[in-house]
Amino acid sequence: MKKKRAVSEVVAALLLLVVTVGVFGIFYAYYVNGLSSSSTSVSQEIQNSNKATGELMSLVSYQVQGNTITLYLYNYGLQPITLNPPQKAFLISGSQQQQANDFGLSDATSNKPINTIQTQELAQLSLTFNNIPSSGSFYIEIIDSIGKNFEFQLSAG
Amino acid sequence: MSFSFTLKRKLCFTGMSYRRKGLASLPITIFFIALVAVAFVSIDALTSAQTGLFSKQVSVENTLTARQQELSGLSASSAGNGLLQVTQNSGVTTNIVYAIAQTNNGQAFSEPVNYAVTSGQTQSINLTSLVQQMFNGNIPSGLTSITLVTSRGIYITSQVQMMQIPHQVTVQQQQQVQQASCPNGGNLQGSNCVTTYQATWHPGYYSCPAGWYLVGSNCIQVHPEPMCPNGGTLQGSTCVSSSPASYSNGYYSCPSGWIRGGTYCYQQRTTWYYVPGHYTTQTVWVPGYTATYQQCFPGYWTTSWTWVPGHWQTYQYRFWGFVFTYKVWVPGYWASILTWVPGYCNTYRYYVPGYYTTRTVWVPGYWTSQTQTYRTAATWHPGYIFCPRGSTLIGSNCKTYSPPNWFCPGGTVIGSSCIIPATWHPGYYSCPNGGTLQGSTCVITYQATYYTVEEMVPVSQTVYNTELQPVSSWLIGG
Repeated sequence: MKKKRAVSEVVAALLLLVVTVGVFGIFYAYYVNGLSSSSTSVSQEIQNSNKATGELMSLVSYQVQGNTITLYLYNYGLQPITLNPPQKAFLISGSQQQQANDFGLSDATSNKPINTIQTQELAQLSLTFNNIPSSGSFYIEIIDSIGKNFEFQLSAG
Repeated sequence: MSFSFTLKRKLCFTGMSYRRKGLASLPITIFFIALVAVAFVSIDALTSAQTGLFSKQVSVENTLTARQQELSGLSASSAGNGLLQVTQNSGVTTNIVYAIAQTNNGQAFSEPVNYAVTSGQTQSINLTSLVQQMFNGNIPSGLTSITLVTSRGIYITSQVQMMQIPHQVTVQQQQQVQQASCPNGGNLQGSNCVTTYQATWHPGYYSCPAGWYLVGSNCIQVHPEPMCPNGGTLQGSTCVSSSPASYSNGYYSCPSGWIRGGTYCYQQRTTWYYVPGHYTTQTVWVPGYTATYQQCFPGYWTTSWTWVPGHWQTYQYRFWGFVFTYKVWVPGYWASILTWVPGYCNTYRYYVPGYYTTRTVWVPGYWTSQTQTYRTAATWHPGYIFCPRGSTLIGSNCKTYSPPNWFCPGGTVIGSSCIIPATWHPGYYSCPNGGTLQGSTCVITYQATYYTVEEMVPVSQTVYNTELQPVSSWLIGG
């Protein structure tokens, strides 16, 4: 009887150790690299929120030519910002909202097409809409690959 | 299932096992150690500088704070000559990393630049050079604005206007040029020919006035014209000068210590002597005073008559131990009464007037002085006529006799000769053939002969450079 009790206590201690290390391993894997899952998990949402916090972009200049608006966007944040895909941009004027027909992102200096605006980089985004207001102010809203919205106010004319 | 059962079982019996067996608490101890380790590692993962969620939020917050600080301290102004001055005053350094040039036809061009504006300083940016750098030395037509982008995503947009600035440049141009030549071997200087030759030298010499002899560099004249100094007249070989004699007026004088008053001398003398002690009679005043006088009258007895009215007089007598009382009527009567009149005193005040009286007092010996004025006749000194030393009094004039001086202006008299320096006539150059003397050279200038040739000559031309001038319209934001 004495011999059986001693063996079970040691086995239980080893099992507890294995379980603890396993839980930590799962947590670390979720946090650092994420789990390879096709569906959006909670950890993925946390990572996206974390990345969205570091995405900072400003509109430094723009031009309106016909139905095309050219935006000069500068990434001053801590994360690269990917706009292509999803290529989603909207023009909001009052209660009217229209999506861009054409979405062209390029490096502002070399004019080469790009998908992501790296940190400390200036990019040129050309958007074509059906109808651009000729007076007053309106908003351009851009959605990046992790769903963060960037909204800029423009003045027509 | 077996694990959870075993764990529950061990947990339930831990307390009992601990009391009974020390080894039984080992699983729980290991479990808690592992749990604490997991907690530490998790906290470290969350706060890691590279991937931690909290640290990333802090970095973003710092980035936004610095951006807001940069925006608040950023300003721009125009300094003329196409210079844009950017100033940062909020404690951060502004790095301008991009420039965007826009034209009025909707085109825009951007290029990375590198300007640093430290806090408290102003950075001048030459917009003309910047645009020329962006467009390979050219400035595109219709340029309307230039936007500078900082590393924190803040833009400075400056409206610009293109200005044509005139500049003077020198270019080589072929022209017909008149060239000059000097046919007679002269040197061409400007439009003239110049010929030079050695001038003729004329040496210098000494000269003396007429009647003087040249000895070396001096002129000597023997027995020159005599002259008398101080307006004297020459009498024979002697100069006699005469001047009125001087006259001294008479005067009174007093010995030393005396003061003259008119024709007398006065002196005050003070004599000290001792007065011995002696008695002397002095008249003194005795002041008046108020005195009192008291006169007393003694008391005395006196008699007076008084009417005693009638009354009953009670009498008693004793008889054998009994006392008998009876009254007798006494009729009224005049009675003589002896009365004491007390004495009294009267006090009188009277004034004793003051009066003069003489008395003899002793005066002790003392020293005293007495000043007396003495007078004596002043001494009279009569006036006289005199001449200065070296002259003789003749009549009322003083005459002076002296040998004549030789007239030798600007020279030296030695014996009866006058020596003056001879006049020096320096040597000189001359140009006998009509040249112009320049130093020891004669110069002849004449017009050069001209002929026409074709050659490249520098010509000044005005060209216009395009410069950008920032207008006073700034837009700073981000």
